[in-house]
Amino acid sequence: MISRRLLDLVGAGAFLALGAALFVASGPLETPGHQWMVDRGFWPKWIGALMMVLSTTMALQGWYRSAGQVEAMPGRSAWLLLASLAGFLLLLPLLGYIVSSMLWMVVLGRIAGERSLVKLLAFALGWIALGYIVFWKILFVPLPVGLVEEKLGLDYWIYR
Amino acid sequence: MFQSVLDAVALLVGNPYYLVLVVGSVAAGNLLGVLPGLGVIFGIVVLLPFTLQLPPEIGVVTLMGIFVGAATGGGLTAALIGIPGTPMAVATLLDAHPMAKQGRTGEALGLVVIASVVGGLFSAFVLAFLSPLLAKVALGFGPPEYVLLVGLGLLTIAYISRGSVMKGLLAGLFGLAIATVGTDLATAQLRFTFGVSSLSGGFSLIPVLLGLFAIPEIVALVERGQSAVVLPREAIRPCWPSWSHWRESWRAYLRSSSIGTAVGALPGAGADIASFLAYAQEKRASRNPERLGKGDPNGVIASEAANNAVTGGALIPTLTLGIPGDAATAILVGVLYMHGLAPGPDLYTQKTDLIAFIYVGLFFANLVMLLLGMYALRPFLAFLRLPHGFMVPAILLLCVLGVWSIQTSIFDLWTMAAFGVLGLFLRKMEVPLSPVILGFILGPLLEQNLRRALAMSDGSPLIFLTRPYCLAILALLALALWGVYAGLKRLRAGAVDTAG
Repeated sequence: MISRRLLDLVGAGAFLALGAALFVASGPLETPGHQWMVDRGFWPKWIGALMMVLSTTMALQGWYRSAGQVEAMPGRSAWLLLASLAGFLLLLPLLGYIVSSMLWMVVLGRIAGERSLVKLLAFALGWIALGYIVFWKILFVPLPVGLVEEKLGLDYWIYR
Repeated sequence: MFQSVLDAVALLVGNPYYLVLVVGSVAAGNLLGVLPGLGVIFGIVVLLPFTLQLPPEIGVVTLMGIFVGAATGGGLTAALIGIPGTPMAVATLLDAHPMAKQGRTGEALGLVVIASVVGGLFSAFVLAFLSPLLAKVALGFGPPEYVLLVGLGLLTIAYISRGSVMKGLLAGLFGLAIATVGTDLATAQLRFTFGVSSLSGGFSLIPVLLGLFAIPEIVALVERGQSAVVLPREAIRPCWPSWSHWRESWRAYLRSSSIGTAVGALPGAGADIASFLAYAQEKRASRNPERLGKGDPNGVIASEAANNAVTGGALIPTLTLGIPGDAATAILVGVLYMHGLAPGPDLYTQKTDLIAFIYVGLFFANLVMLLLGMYALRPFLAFLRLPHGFMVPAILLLCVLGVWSIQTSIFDLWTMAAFGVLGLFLRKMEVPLSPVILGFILGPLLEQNLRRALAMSDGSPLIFLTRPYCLAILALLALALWGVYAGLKRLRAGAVDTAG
């Protein structure tokens, strides 16, 4: 739990930093002497300026008005879920759709509270097979092929 | 147009593939609406990649089907277990659940379905009759009028969003900021791509949507943990209302459907606001206001007819002006652009077949909802017992496959993950996400028209105050918003009274 005031100040700070970055980064995009109609820096510069003004107001509001405590940080399961997503995306080009999805679904199921590994494996297998049929066999979307699958020549059998 | 409507009916009814898609979309939407905490936008976002694989006309209709199904599904859970499946069903809970507790479960479920369908059909009629007229007027609009419509629409959405106004406005600006990444449409030069070639077209819509909406929602689902859902032991069979019910309650249907359609057509005021406004109006109009909140059928009618009538209402500005009324229709605008179609008055002159198909599809989706709701409800409710341990991986893999199917790009998957983290923190900071999406989708339209309008006036902003259409837009919007604000003010005062 953290105070709402701190949360609002952190949020306002993040928007202020983004607005300032946008404002500064738009400068080199402006073309001096050109009609501003064709100027690609005009619009982001205004957005950045407005963000800075509004985030300062938000910070002031947060400082004077905010009260109470809030649950601000994501919990352990949220971090685990995000980490598993990152791990899955790293494994995908290596192991391909079937194996990496199988591993990920089992991990996700565990994070979400399912204890039976057998049930999870069976469910994952069925869902992955359904995804394969819908996307590859019906919609003709080529699914990610892993380096390992390529080395073993499995891609030919799976995606022929 | 009449011939186009007949052609659309023939196309829809004569094509089994289209029929299956409409039934499937309503069923999928209903399933996601029934599951508490997921909601309409989540349903649309998760199933969006599938609709993009379809021809534009049926793609749009399937999106509307998901909306109709999800809007009704939320009310069913509210009636049955006392947990609204979607925020727009909170007002439904007030009377539908007491009805169920009084042993009138079938009547409550029947009313949820019928009122939803009546609201949906009413708004579809209004859409069909009103939007061609509005489109004719909109043909005279130029860049300054569009700047006002988009800009004021965004401002209103940010303002009406839940929580702090400042956070809503900053969220809208954040959406506009991320829309600036990519190729500048006026000069064809790159902007903020930092040498990443995958960003030259800007951030893709689907990964951004799934990241911002779906991932934080799934994280919230995991954090909340599994809640035991106890379905009533009695047979769950919705009942058809009697003739005397229609005689007594037709005014409630008409009032609430009208309110829902009107609120849907306004920028920002979504289905949850519509249902509460209609409920408050019903309380004022009722001869027995003390009965509302204790299991009065008219309370259920008010909320459900209004929240489903928003569907057709929100399509009025979306199709005629290209200005979405809420996040769901903003996604629809994005989808039309992805199909190479620019929503707006030209759609009514150049793509009458598409427009007719959307009307017919919306009617049909509501009729499908009626049949599914009255005769095939049980399988949907069975999903309430699905453990999170299976639901979470299934939905997340669906999101990954959906993003992958658009461009088969790993970069898009990482974009989804990055926006997921961002969405999670924005949620934790109580920043509303709908203005982000609206800003992201409408950003390019607003920028282009602003630059064109200022070029027309040699840089003078007075152009927005001197054209007759601009003045009319400002006046109409002020009038409409005054109506919504007055309604909301009364609603809040009523809530304070009730709490007191």
